[in-house]
Amino acid sequence: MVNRFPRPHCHAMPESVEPMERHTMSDELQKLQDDFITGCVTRRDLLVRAAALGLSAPALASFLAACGSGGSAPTHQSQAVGSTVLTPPAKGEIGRVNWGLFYEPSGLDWIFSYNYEENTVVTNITESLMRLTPQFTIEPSLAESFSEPDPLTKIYKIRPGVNFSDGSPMTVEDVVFSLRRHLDPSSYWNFAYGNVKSVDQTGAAEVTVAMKRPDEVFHPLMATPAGGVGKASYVKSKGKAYGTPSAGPLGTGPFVFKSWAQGASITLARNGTYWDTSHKPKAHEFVFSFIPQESTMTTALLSGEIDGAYHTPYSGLGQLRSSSSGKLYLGKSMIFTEIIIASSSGPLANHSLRSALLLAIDRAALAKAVYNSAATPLRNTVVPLGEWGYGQSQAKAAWAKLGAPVVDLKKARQLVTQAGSPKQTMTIATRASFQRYIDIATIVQAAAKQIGLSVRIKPISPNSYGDLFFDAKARAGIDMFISENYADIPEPLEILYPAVVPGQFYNYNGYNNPAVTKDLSRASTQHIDNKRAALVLSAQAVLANDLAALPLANPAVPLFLNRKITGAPASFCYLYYPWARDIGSSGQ
Amino acid sequence: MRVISFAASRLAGLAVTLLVTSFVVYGALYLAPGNPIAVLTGGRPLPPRTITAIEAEYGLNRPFFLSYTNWLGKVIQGDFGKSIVFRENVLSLITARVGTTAFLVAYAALLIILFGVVLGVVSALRKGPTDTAILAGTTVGIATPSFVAAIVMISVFTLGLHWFPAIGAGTGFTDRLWHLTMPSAALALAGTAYVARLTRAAANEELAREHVDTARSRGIPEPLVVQRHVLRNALIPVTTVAGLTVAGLIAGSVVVENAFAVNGLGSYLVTSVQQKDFPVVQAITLLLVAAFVVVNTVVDILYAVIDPRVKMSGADR
Repeated sequence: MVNRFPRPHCHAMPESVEPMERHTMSDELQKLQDDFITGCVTRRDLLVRAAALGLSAPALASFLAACGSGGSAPTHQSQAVGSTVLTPPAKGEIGRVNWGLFYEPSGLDWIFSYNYEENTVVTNITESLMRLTPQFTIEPSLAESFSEPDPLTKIYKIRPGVNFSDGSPMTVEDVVFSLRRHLDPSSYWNFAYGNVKSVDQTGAAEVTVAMKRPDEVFHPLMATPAGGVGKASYVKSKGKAYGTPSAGPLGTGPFVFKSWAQGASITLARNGTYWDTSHKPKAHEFVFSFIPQESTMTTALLSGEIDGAYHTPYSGLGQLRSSSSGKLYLGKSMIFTEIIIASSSGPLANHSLRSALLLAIDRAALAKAVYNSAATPLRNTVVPLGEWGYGQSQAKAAWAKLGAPVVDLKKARQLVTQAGSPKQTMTIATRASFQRYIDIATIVQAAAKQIGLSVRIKPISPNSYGDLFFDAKARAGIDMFISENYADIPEPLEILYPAVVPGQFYNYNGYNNPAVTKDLSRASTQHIDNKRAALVLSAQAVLANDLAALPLANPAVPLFLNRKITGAPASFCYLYYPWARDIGSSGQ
Repeated sequence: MRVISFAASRLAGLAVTLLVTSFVVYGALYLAPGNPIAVLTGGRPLPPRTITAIEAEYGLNRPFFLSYTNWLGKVIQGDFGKSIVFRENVLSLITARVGTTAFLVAYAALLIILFGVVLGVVSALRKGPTDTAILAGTTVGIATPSFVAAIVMISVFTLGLHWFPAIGAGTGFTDRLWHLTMPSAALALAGTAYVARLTRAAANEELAREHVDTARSRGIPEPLVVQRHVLRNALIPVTTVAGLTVAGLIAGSVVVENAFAVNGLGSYLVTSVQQKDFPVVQAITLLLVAAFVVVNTVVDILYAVIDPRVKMSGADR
């Protein structure tokens, strides 16, 4: 278990190194660069191969800079699950691509796109002011630039020459209208606007967002549908029907809504006049089919009826790994699996018992067993290292300090004894018929038993399980429950702040540590990246000991691509990056 | 006249059945734990103000009786409301799927009646190895749940032989026939075996009857004996069971539709129940109940056609 943590640019899935003959030096270098960027070679392999090409040290340095890489190389990378960022670039255009979704999106209006498959589709139609890159940075998209003259004023300069897919130009009015839609609390992204005072046009191509108080999370959230832009007159004319099957969405993205066969598929056609000419869409048509059953999804990928899918079922990874019909990638993700402490009373209110329980859980084994080896164990934080979109070197040092998770039953038993060896049975809720949660609950129960604690598993019907997250009554009598959640943006504050600051909507156990609250509150108003990172990391260090939640694993994004297509980003960016534009023919 | 009064009494019965069903289903769904909000937001946490706004928009906080009568009043005016999850008219959501399920069920019913009756008759008439083989086959068929049949079929005919697609319902008649062959077969398997067993038993019973012996002793050709005196009589119990089996297919389609990612009503009903999408659940349930009643009525009418001694009457079914 050495160095299994996700890293942005280094990775080795040995089979992905193409053993192709190469003729010229520049070809070789280009290929090496591609391999490196796509994560096909490790840094160490890169150094070896570059040396073989006779690349000098300064040349190598500039080469690495061109790869956009930083940080040093882990010595052993053969287990780097969940670090792939890109797949090999597409070689040409392709006709129709059949894509699998694991449920039918409830709609394609960006203000209600808050879940996996809604966003997977919407991100290719409705673009946002900013964009989440495959490497987990935030870059300009429909905004050409962003400035912040003072902490309460955020100015977005709107990109000129962008058209909606109906040919009409995108205007500042469209942007203002689109952002203002979120001021209504019924928008699922309304939370992003909690500190916003007003959204106004302040120039011919300029929109200003005035804040009530400084909020560093707002700007990165402009890469999500919170910053989505639709055509004002069209959205108004469709009213509440906008984004439903009968009134499809209209955006600036690389693909255009074409049809929605309810219950079966959504079809998008290529936007022939897409503004971002450096990323012209290569596929003529995308057909998204809805395949809820896990085994059916796996079969459809194996048989080639479906060309690709993100988040393919973990249960079918074995078959997909060994399939000759395509290739499985395990992408870098911002997903975290944790045990949420549901109550401010009960045995788990005792810090020693939380620590003891976590010490008894074998997180490395859990990541392997529950996620079919497609996850890495989390250290004592719910923030995976790869989630840091800034302050990476500080985050890395802090991560190293956290240390790899260890199982220490002796210490755990001591802690239980110190806590007075409570006999009270604890209850862990799982989603009935959801295998991963059932597996995790079973592991937790077994771990607790080893240290003399008793845990009862309470299955909750799949639909009511979601109520645990916003209904205190649903949490009555439950000590802990399992959650797979994700950060939308590479800003750890987004998930930490609501979870550990008192009174916030995600803080279910009344966790209250003034030091943490102070650090995170200051961080949320700190504009300078390194300083903000330092504050968040200071809170993280306290939380690592306090354990407001029990961090378990960082599942990777399994992506399967049929051998005839390639180019899709492999990372978790696919919710907020127009990924379909990069998919094209693999030349096979 | 008799037919009209028969139909009228059946219609009245249908209306009462639908009303009671709608009340029971609505109530059950109302009492069941859970909330459509969790589905809409993917179970991810949201601030209370957004939750409140969603609840207000869909009237999720309204008391049961008010909410039910409100729904009923609209339905009587022909308005089945909007899906909470899809924000779309329920009728258009159902129309998009009803054809697929109708095709699937009709196809499976055809397979059940055709293969069930033929296998049963062959089994009854050809004693010995044929009978034994069919008996063994039907035993396996009855014992195989449709999802197991689906998995086996997919691995043999899709992944192995590449004959049939694993997912989808297809478009146009031929493509649809091709896509729905495996789902229909999986759906029909148990029913076919059951009907075959029953046909065999009924035919055997008729074969042992006096009137068959009499017919034979009079020198009536064997095919005519079988057709007139065995099959016709044997068909009455077979029709009853086949009718019930086919009506049951509508509910059974759920599993098969899920296994083959077919966009039918069955899988949609299950999804909507899980999502607590009230208007959709109500509309599909009513449709299924109506279909069930109609199929049973058709079976009753068929009795009269097969055996003129059976009289149509409203009270007697």
